[in-house]
Amino acid sequence: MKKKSASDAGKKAFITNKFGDFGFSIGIMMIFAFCGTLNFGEVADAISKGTLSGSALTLAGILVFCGAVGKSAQFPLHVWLPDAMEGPTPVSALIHAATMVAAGVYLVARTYFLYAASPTASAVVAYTGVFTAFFAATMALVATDIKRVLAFSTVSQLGYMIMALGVGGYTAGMFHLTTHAFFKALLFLGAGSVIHGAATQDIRDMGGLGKHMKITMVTFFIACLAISGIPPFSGFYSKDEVLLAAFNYSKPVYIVATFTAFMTAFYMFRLFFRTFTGEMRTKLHPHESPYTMTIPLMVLAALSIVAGWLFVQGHAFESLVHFKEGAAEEGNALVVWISIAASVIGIGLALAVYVLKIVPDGFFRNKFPRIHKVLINKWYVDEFYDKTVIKPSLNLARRLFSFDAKYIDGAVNLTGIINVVISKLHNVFDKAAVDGAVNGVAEAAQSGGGLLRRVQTGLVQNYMLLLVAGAALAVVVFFFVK
Amino acid sequence: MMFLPLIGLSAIIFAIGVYGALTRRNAIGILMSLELMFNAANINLVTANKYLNLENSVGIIFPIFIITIAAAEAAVGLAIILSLYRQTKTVYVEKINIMKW
Repeated sequence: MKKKSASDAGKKAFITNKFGDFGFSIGIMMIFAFCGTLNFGEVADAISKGTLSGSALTLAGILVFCGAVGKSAQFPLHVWLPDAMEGPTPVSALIHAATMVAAGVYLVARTYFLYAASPTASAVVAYTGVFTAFFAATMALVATDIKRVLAFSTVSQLGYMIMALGVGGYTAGMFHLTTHAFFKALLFLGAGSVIHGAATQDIRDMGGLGKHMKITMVTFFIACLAISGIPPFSGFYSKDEVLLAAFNYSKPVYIVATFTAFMTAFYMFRLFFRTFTGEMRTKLHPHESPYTMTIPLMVLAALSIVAGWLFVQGHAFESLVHFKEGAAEEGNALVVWISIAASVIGIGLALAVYVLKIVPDGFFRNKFPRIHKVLINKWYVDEFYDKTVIKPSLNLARRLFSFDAKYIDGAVNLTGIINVVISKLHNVFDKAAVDGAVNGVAEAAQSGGGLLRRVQTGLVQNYMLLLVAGAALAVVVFFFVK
Repeated sequence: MMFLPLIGLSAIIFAIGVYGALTRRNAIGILMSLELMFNAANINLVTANKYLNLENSVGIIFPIFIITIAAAEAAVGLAIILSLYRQTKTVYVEKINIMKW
């Protein structure tokens, strides 16, 4: 069950995130260098006192945002999230919908005081967010893998949240994060149920699954309505607040965000219609998933319906994120109606293309082949990274490797050779001097013994002569030497 | 006063014994020369006992021991010489050099 693509996706996610973390860690160090603390409250105090201000504050804000860009898959570091769909679907639901990617958004929300104090930094956040939202939505329009559509959708919605934080919609961003967690988890688990039942991930092969998987279809439909922003589903409330914040910030941002909302509605219902309605395009044997899979779907569907409505009662969510009574934001009926209209148009277009077939299938693909090609290739971002980052890195690594092999290994081997030579010299010295001394002692003993051996003749009279001579010598010494 | 002549006799006999022991080629002769040296020593001891007024008559008793030991020594020596003769068919000591190394 080991897949090369899965391990590649793991590496990609890891390395891409490191790019963001690099900036993030520098940002943390900057904040610490200026404020001497990393406590959120103390840093906020330091900023309000002006310890960290001006361009340093802007730079720190952007660097901290780098971490969020990596973690929440914002442009230009969004490339890892679609590939991470190699993982099992429940893992995608948890990590890529609710928890991990939300960390980046949460980071920006938590360090919101940085962006509130720096218009430039918040503008970077806002434009990155809105661009990512638009950019990912365009790729979701043409993706054919059910999980990849959801992945691009996640990137797009995260862009929405980041944009909301950038344009000053602190509550709106966090609110969208919360509601999005419900319906995106529902979508992922629904997709998991579909994959489980249909044994394929390609929506071109699906169709008509609704007849066989009623619970999955209904819950998926609820999630699609929620993400498209149809009232009274949860996505409507949060998306409306996000768009309102964008409207108050800048009209171009608002227009792109609204257009993205339209695209969101379109691609979500494209996915829904292609999966659950019409005729089965290939021979599948779909079946409804067991209750262990459908009950979580139903729970999440219920939450997707009521969460938005519940949280706006008495500004409950604002009180939650501000730790106090939230101030009522001024509603704007125009924004609400435009947002609903965009969603309805998106859904209507999807209906027209994929169900009623007013517009023939493949119309856009044939009409704008170039745009389709660019989108299906994900704007060639991967290829661009491959050319500009990966290839040079690999080349550099190869160069460093050859440098290592030549010089470092050379130095190590040289040390080894020198050691061998020194050891050989030691060997010579050992043989000559140490062994020489030992053998010399032995030889001296041997030759001395050889000489003394000759004294022992074995003739008794010689010994006796020596004995008498010794005795005579003793007498002489005794009597004549005083 | 016979002290000096007796000491002189003892010295002469001892010298003859030493000479004989060093020069005789025959092992029996060497053994006999050894007996001469023993007896020169005995004469010396007895003379010293008589003229130097030693108490307990040590100079008379000790020669008796020496004579006894000399007899035993002669027996052992002759036994060795006989054994050598059986092995080598000779009693000439310059031919017998098995004691080396």
